[in-house]
Amino acid sequence: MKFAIRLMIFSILLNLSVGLMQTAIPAFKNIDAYRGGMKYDTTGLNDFTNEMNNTVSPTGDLEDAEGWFDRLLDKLNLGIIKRFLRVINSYMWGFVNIMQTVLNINASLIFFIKILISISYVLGSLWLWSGKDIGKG
Amino acid sequence: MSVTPINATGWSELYNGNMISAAYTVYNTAMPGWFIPILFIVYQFLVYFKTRNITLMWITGFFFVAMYATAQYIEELQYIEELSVHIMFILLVFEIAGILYMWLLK
Repeated sequence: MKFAIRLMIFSILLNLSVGLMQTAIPAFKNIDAYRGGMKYDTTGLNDFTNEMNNTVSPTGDLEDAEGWFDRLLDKLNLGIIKRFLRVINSYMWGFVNIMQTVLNINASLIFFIKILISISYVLGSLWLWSGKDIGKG
Repeated sequence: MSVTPINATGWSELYNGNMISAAYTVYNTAMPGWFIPILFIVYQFLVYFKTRNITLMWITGFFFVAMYATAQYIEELQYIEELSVHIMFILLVFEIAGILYMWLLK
């Protein structure tokens, strides 16, 4: 569990460091690959702002009198979480995506790294949310 | 008796009095496009083994790369491999991430 948290924090710090280095050294600022496919005020930022501002339209039957309010809340929450995860995909794997673009690393290795980081993110966020250490069982 | 032309690598830079450019031309011809990153990596290893100080590694490496980035005249003289710039970038990113990690969690 400790390792997962550390991996999560280190991954976030790597993404932060990419931004720091780009800001610090002008030569790195002009290299497109280091932006991870994101550009100011275009796709990346729009995903984050527009997507989260959209209304959630729940599908399915809600006319059941019993517990309809809870079900509506569940659906709204799930919709927001799904949307948030879809947006965060490009943010949490930023450095891994840059490495893949720049160094032409094998796709399966990149997939493995992404899975590892995802597990650490999930474990870490569960721990932060609930305080429960899943690793200890 | 005619004077034989001198074709030594980096001679024209040396003849103009640009000693740094001359040395750069000589080494970058020997290691095409990889002279700067090799210098960078060797320097980083030297600093690490001498001091074991990652912050010092990052600060000096940062100065090195920043100075290289501002030295536009080098790019006019010789080319540099695209991949070598990426390697320097990734190395510096890992170092600053390590520094931030130790700063936050140790």
